[in-house]
Amino acid sequence: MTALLALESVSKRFVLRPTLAERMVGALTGAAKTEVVRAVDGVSLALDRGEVVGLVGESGCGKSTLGRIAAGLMLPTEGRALIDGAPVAEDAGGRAAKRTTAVQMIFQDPFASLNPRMRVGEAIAEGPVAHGLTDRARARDTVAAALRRVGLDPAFASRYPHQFSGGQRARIGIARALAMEPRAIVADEAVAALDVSIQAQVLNTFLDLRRDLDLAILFISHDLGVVGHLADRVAIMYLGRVVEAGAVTAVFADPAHPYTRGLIEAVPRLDRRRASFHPVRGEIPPPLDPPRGCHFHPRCPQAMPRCRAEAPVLREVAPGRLAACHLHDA
Amino acid sequence: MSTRAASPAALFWAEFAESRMALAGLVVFALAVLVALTAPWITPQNPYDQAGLALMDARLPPGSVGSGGYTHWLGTDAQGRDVLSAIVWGLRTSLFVGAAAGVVALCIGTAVGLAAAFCGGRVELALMRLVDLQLSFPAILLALVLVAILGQGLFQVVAALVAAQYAYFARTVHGAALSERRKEYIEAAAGIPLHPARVVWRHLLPNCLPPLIVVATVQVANAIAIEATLSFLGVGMPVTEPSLGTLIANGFQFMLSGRYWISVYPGIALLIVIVAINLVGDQLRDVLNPRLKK
Amino acid sequence: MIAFLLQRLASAVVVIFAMSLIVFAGVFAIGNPIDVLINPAADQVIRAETIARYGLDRPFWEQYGYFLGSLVRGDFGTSFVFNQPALGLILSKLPATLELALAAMLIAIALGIPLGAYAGLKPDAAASRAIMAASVLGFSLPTFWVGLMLILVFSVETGWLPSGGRGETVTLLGIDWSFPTADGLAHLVLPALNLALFKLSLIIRLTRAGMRETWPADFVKFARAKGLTLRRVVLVHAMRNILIPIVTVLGLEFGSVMAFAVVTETIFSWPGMGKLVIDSILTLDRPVMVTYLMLVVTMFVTINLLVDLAYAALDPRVRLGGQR
Repeated sequence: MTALLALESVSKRFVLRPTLAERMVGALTGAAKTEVVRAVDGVSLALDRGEVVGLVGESGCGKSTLGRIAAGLMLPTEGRALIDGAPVAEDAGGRAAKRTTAVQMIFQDPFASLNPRMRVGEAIAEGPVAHGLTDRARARDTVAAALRRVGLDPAFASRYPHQFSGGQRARIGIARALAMEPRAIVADEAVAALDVSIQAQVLNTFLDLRRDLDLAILFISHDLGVVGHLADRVAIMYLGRVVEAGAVTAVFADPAHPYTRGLIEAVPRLDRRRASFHPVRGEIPPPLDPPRGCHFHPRCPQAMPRCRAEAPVLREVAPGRLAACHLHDA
Repeated sequence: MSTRAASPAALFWAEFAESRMALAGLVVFALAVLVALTAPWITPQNPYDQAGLALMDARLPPGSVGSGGYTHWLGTDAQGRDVLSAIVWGLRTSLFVGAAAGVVALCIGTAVGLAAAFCGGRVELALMRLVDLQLSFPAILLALVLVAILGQGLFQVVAALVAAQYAYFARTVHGAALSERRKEYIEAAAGIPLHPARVVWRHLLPNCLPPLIVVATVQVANAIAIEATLSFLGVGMPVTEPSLGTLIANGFQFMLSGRYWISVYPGIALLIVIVAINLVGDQLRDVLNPRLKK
Repeated sequence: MIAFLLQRLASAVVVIFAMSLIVFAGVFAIGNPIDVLINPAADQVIRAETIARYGLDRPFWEQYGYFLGSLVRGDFGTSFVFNQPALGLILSKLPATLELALAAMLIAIALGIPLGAYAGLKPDAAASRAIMAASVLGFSLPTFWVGLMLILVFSVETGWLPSGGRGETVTLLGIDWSFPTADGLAHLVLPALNLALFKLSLIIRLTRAGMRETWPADFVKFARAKGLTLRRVVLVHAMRNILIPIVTVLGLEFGSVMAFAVVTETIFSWPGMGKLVIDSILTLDRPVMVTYLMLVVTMFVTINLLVDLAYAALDPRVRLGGQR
């Protein structure tokens, strides 16, 4: 069975080119050079219908870039992003064009992601009307249905975004995505900006959606606790690469990568009361100049000489479990 | 119905009306526009109908009754024109030039600024370099050069003003668009996906409007002032189509001999219009500036 | 830093070159100067002779090439009207404009800083409000209008000051100056005041803003706590910090003072560059217009270049930010 939403060895490189004047000087001194950031480096991921996959990593690890590629907002430098076997976007002179409507994105900042000068109803109806999913006459019903689906009063349609709380705005953002009748949703830190009590409500909305609409959801978060609550499977990213992937219960119970272990131990839990609080030590290295070999070795408590020289490959370490770590070669 | 929210426009009006000076400015400006529009019907004399002028009425002081049998409240000029009528007609020309130059410069400047922000790369660099370069020269000098090149006349003056002023709009829109473009609602609209033209028109542009409105107000006042200056220097509006500046220039030579009214009353009309627009502009700046919002 | 310098220098040269083309093309398009040069009754032979003498029959590119070549040699052509070299003609008017501009700057500084400082120290006083309202007017009123009012009040109504001309001049260092004689000084006051008005408003605003920003600063509080008199704190400590932005802006604005002199000189019949260029526009004296424009462009580009470089030297963020 082919996956609904598939990322096939996706890479994204950002190139910083020197200006003309810098190049002129560089030609004399040999100083200026083109710098390349590998934001995403050969990542494959597949989501089935009705499945929630959590994508976890620290900020700057490339998870947001990967999410934008999956939603067709960005083009990968290499690899493909497919929905039902068709590309999510086409390359038109380096810019993403002919984006699919089947993958919709939900954004992090509930205050910035709604146009402040558009009534909520207009914002929700705009996409479906433009794509012929509804017409002007039935737009009211479409909007009302979308708002009800996320637990909001359809009468809110005539209000402006500034009249809502953060949690309500987050739901409006979800309603706007749902009105496009997507098959998959990419949620980028969709609850990170909300209070913890509100987070729970919005997470429950996501669970309802999965149950009722059979959506595939790629849920991007830096927060393992949130992902554990929501996702079926989880993928852990570090500096552009996936270092571990597997079912949430299995990964949480027995992490196969030292980085995952560090992240899990950093999650505050009621039953452990700060007994052993060992967050991952050190800072993320600069993405412009990642460490050789395994990207994680400078921070890894179990680093070996081999880790400095050779990058581990992501491979199956147990049924349904993937990890990229030399410890599993023993 | 209470759930129906006050629209941004209503909120905006309420805040604007907080300043009495600004309201007064708006009222005066509206009156000036009304007077200018109805000029042919409210003035006792068409000042450019040569047949209606009598040389024996020339340079009558304010309050005199001329051969037409009506009082020249603001006196007459060297050709026997009623100064009040000339002012109303001159106001018509001045306001038209200011508004035309403002609107065209707004459209061109907005297009340039948006194009630069949206295209990025070399296009952005080239366009904004040009704009920055232009902004380093005073607008009056640029307009003077252009009028010198293009010659006199309504179209030439408007073209010179547009070329001198569009850069202010381009700079403003570019700056606003750059900061708005990074916001997620733009990405959200593009991701739905909506057509790029729709994203720019319905999402990006409306959110760039506040600073644009302020600049537009000030630039209309500036256009009127610059046009008056050009006409005063004799390189702006021709005598056949005089603006307030032309009227002032015509009266200038008589001022030294004490016949002040030919120059001064048009000057006061010009002053009132410019100050009224600036009062409105100042209040708009305060209302639309997000940093001053509670 | 070297990259930045190269980039700015190159763009300055490109600008001057581009402007020479635009100016020439523009002026080329204006009217036909031959009508000004010769008697309309003159016969075809004289007409053809004059056209050939001034190169007016050549195609556009040839005239432009000839023009560029002459520019490099420092030859800006000969005025059609005065029949003398355009550059020399304009430079001979430069001292008058310079005197006017300097006097205006002096007035703007001498009045603007105290008024602005007062408005900044006592923002709620009635006088402060009046000062600020006047500065708004100074920004929005056209220069020529104010000049007109000055003439009306001080020349026509009261007869205190002359309304035009330079008055009696004295030759110092080979240049004529108005300010050393009482008559010249009287002639200088009104135009200088008129030209100063815009800058005066600007300086008032800058000083007021600087004063209000600096006053609560720690070092001013410290100086006052040391027991220094109010007078000394204002003059020495606060003022020093305020002067930096003012000096920067004044450097930038000197060019625009020269530009606005066009208007002021015309109103007050001040025999400077500005009046000359307006007259040359009205008489289609092409070489004088082109020369004036090229001088002004060069002046602006040079000022901008110097300011850019000074900023870059002072603030590393500018040189890095400028390159993205």
